[in-house]
Amino acid sequence: MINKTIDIIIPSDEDLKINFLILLIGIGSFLLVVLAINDYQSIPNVEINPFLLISITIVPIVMIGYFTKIYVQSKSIHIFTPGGYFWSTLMLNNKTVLLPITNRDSKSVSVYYLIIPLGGGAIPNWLPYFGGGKNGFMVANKRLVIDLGGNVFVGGTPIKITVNSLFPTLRREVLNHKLFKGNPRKVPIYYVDLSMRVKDSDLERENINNEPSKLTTVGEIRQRHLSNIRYSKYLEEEVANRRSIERALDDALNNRRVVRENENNNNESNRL
Amino acid sequence: MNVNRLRKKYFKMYRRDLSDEDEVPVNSIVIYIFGAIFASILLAMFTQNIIKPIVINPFLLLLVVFLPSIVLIYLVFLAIKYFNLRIFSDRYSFAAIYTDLKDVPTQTVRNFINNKTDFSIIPLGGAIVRNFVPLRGGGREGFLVVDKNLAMNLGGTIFVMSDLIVTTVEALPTELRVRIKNHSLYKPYTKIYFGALEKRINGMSIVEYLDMQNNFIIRDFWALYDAVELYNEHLERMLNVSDSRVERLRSYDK
Repeated sequence: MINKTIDIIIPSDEDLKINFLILLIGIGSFLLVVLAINDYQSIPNVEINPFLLISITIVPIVMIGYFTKIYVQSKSIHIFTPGGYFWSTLMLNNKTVLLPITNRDSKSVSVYYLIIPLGGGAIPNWLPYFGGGKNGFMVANKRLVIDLGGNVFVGGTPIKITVNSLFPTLRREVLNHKLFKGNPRKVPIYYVDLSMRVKDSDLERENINNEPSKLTTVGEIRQRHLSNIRYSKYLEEEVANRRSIERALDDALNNRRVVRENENNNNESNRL
Repeated sequence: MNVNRLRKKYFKMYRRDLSDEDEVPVNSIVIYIFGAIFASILLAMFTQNIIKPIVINPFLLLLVVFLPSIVLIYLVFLAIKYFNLRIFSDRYSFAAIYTDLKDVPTQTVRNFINNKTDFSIIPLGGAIVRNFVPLRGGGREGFLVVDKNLAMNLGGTIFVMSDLIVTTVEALPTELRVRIKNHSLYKPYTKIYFGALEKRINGMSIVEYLDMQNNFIIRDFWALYDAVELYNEHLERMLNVSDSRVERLRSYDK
């Protein structure tokens, strides 16, 4: 009786399961091969243009490769967030970035961010499919990333941005990530900085820049934060631009000074 | 002087930044496949008189044409299911047609101390792709039976905050067993993923854990916000210094 109960509660996961489709394909291919071997003399052969043969055989095989990749992704670990987003991931090559920050009140805060490459996948006891980072990167506050022992839950709604809208240190770390490929303006970054449990009232601050805050909702404040980061990127480039102008002007003045000095020396030597 | 060249370079860069916003995403693999099919057909048409055709056994041709097609159809079916993953738990992810817990049928169960628990019953499998033929077949991968309080709507997906046990319908309480056996999508020997125990993280439920982290996360957010503002102020000062230097150098230049 006890054994029977255990049998019911724990079904045999280890049983060899036969997929009917695979069985049918196997039988079908076997029959076709047997027919081809037995009848190759009695049934006349077919003539076909080689390019047509390529289009009807190789192209479906390429498509099979693509869909197999998706199948491997579907069986892999998933990272999911509020808002209905989910990605396959290998949870390898993750980077933890420490941001030591001194805020306006001269208090030091250590913020940990996690950079997770999205995409790629692996099925246990099967061929691994690598390629993390192909679907972009998740950049999330480490406190919001919950490893459930298989899947990973990130407890905040992500904002889809590009690497240029990241905090400068995070931007550098993402750009230096070994799986970061492609155009930095096109690789999607899913940025999670606030929990899904944060309400508008939780973010109230009496003063921002010694002025009463006009920002009221979480969305507005996040938007403002991101536009500030983009502004800092613009300022960095402007400073670099001005410095190059400064250097060019400096060089031009130096050259002119040297020419003038040479001219003066020549004049003096002529006079002598 | 390279000043104008630099200006043009940055101007181009910013313009490119703006123009990227409205791009239509196109899957490159689809373009390659259709390009290859189109090119092969064109080549076949133009070279039918020039290149000698290949002689092949008809059964062998069937083998190399039909089998990849069948495999392809099966894989497309799996891919559709992948894009329809709706339910996530600690280890499992399932395709389902339900995206909201409100639509899911529930069954109330009384335990031995007469406490009531509402269980949501979700048939697993099946998928719907927008503007595409729906893929029926819910219930093929079993049923998810979970305490309604342990499932959370994530806006398009459902998060099951429970340690799931794989079992059979026979092991369920009577009310649930009867309800599932009478379900239109029920098939014999189907798997049941049963969730009644809450997933704990450091001794807390997931909601409690997130609430506990809330204050730290808000502190981190404002720290980063301030850091960016302070950095911008610093950069603005640098820019002003650079501007005044450039002005001074230009006046020398004249």
